Amino acid sequence: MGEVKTSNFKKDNKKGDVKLEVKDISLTNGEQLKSLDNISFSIQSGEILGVAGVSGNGQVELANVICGIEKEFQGRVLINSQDVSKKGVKSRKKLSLSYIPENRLGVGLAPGVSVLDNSAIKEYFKASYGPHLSKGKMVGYLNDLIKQFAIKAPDVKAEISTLSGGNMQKLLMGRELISNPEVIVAAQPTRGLDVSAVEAIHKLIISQRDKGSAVLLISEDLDELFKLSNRIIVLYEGKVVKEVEIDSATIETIGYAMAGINE
Amino acid sequence: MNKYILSKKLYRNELATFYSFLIGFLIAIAVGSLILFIQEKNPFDVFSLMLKLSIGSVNSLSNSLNKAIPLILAGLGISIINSVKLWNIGAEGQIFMGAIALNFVYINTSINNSQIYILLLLVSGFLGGAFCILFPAITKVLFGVNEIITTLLTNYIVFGLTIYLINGAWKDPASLNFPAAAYVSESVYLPTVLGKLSSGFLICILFTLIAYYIKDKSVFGYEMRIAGGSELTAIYAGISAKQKAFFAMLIGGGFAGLAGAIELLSQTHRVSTGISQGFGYTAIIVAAITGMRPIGIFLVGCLFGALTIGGSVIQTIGVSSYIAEIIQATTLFGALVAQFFFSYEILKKDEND
Repeated sequence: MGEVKTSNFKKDNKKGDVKLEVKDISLTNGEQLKSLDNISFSIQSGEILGVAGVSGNGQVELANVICGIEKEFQGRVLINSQDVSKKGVKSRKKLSLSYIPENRLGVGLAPGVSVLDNSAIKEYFKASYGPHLSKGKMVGYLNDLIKQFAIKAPDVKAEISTLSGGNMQKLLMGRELISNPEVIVAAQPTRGLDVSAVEAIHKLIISQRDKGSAVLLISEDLDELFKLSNRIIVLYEGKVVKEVEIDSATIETIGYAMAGINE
Repeated sequence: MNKYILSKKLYRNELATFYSFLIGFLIAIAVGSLILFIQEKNPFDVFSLMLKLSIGSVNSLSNSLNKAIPLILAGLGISIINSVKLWNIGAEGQIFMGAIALNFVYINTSINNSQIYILLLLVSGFLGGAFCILFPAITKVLFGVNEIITTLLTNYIVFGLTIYLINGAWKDPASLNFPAAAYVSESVYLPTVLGKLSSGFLICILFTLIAYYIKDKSVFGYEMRIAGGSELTAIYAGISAKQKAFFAMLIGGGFAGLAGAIELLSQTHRVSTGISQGFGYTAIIVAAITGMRPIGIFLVGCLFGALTIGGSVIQTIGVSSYIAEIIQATTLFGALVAQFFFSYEILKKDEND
């Protein structure tokens, strides 16, 4: 096993109230298989909870339950101590929840649709007056994003696929983070990106943490999890098999837990 | 050895669709000229006659624009449905259904104020078109049945229904055994505004602006674009993709139904098989050439209306009216091929790469 990369980021930031609370979440799919089994955890403001696990052990389902995309589940989800279990995607967003999905192009961004339209997906209803959608407001919002997150988008009317992977992810992250959300769910935010883009995304997540957001970071990259998280839970076959503070975690124990081996 | 690969261009010229149309139209004129030349006619004479008799006078121009009305309205309906990346091949059936619904309301109601009556009849035409696409819309959103097949097949059902009605229940005894329903009263004819130009053309302009607004400026249009781009993104954004598809289909069908209602109130004045002469199919060409842009559909619809009139008048000098249809179809073909070359480029790739 390799050496754990020493963290560049300090972890002694101030933590606050519990922002996201998940209680006894279970999700059963068609054939009585449990894709999520009795999951509970909570995240304070200023804290990053890393979710380790091999892809397909319930990470996507967990994110979908928290963000309101998956509706048929047992258990409760609380954002800012408010029960949102029965609420839809939009009302959760209004409670200041942002979701950066694993599938960048296809879920987070709509292929074949312009950069401008894609940039407004999170809060397009804020640019509307009744049935009218203000293009001016949308363009203003996108220009803010481009400036603040250093996105290279030469032609905002062109299709989203004209952007590079890193710029797409910056646009997606920027769109979800510019409103300074209190709860962030980020799934595989750096997968498939080059080193400089990864660094930029990491800095974004850390700066968001320092602003007091509660972050749920789902990743397969253990280096990334050790670098960013305050705490790590390990998902295996839909169960939380391990929960450790970052100081007492080693890459071996996490790795074993990911493979379903109890030491 | 070099390999050639096809690669999607990152940036497309804003006017690419317009240039493609021009290229397609020039190719079509060339093809038409060639055919005329083979028939030993002078293409120049034929085309100048077509031009003169389709837009040369107020009367002929109003004829052309009257022909454009159903093309434009049905084309707008198709473009609205295409916002969610669905295809409506059933505009022809929806046009007939609009006329049938209008006649049904006309037979069963009586209102003295003719303006209000005309409005009611137009609305019933719109609803008739929406009703016609209701079944394909329901099967699409509930079971995912391919809308291309279902909308195409409803054409045959509605055409059969039309034949049934005008030979049976609605057959006009005064029509000397010609299969057609009774004429509507002259009081509900759409008034003309200029020469023979029906006021339906003004409705057409209004609905072009409405379609443009819905597609480009409204929240509904935005949600349709996202839902059309990716259903998963729509769900992620809290937009119900199925609901958008359902309403887009109903509105699009309604546009075509309105075309049928206007055609009945301004041209045929009764339900007969002549309500539509393939307008619903030509409208697909119009919509596809313009890349589904409402203003473009309006302009190309006017051009195609003029071509249709021009095609029918050149029969007087012994040239088949099919020349007009050849030009329309070749324009589509040329425009689509040109659009392809505006969106893709052929790159040479070395073997060593």
